[in-house]
Amino acid sequence: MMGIYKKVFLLLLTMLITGSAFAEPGVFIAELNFEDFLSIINNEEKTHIIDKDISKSNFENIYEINRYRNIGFEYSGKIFGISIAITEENANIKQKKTDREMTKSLASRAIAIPEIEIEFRNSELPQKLQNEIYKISNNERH
Amino acid sequence: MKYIKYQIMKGTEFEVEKTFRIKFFEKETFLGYIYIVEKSDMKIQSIRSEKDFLRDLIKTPRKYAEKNERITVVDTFEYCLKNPEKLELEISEEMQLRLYLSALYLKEGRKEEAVETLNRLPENMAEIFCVQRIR
Repeated sequence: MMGIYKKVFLLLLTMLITGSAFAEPGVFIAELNFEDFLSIINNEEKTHIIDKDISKSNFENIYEINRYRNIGFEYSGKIFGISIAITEENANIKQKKTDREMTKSLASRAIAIPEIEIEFRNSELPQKLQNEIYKISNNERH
Repeated sequence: MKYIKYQIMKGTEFEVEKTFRIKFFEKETFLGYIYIVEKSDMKIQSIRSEKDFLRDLIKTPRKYAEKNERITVVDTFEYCLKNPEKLELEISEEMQLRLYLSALYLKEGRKEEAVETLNRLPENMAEIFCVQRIR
């Protein structure tokens, strides 16, 4: 009996030391950590646009168009449209320029995603025609 | 193209009065943009209906069949043929889809379904297509 308590105690101790006891489920956008991503959004802002209390579920539905990952959500009276390109190691300037232009264009369209999602809830289309959501957190396509 | 992608790319029309923020970000492995607008500054003008979406997809059934996985094409054609009123399909369009669908069934080895689909084609098919061309 004491053995079990000891094991649980050691497990809790390990979690406390590594910080994993407080860590929330790992949600990543692209290869980006959630906290890092919030700091990118808030970077150089006088007041934070997004607080840490934002639900991570806002970032979970990622719509992949070609190789660009797009997210759109509403938060605190504002609508966010985000588009991300994963750049290859040896990407040249031309490729980066294309990625920059594409993500700009897609992010400007991604602000419509929250409204589209509302409309989409009423869809009776067959599954194959509905959508392809890329969930980075579990690497599954739906 | 799936319905939501279609909406993002070209289906939804909206107007933004003022953009709150446009931010570019770049790190070693990724780059991208964030657009932020106040909800009150954005107005959705129109969202394309399922009918428009499907009619766009099957505008040229052959092209659609060539560009997509067979199973997706079969699902699409089956759905369209089950809902001809919803899509406002003309008889000639419906017949065309039936022909393609039966060919796809055959390719998949679904002979009974292929025969059943072909049996639903009217005997005066040539006339139907003639009328369509004259129009």
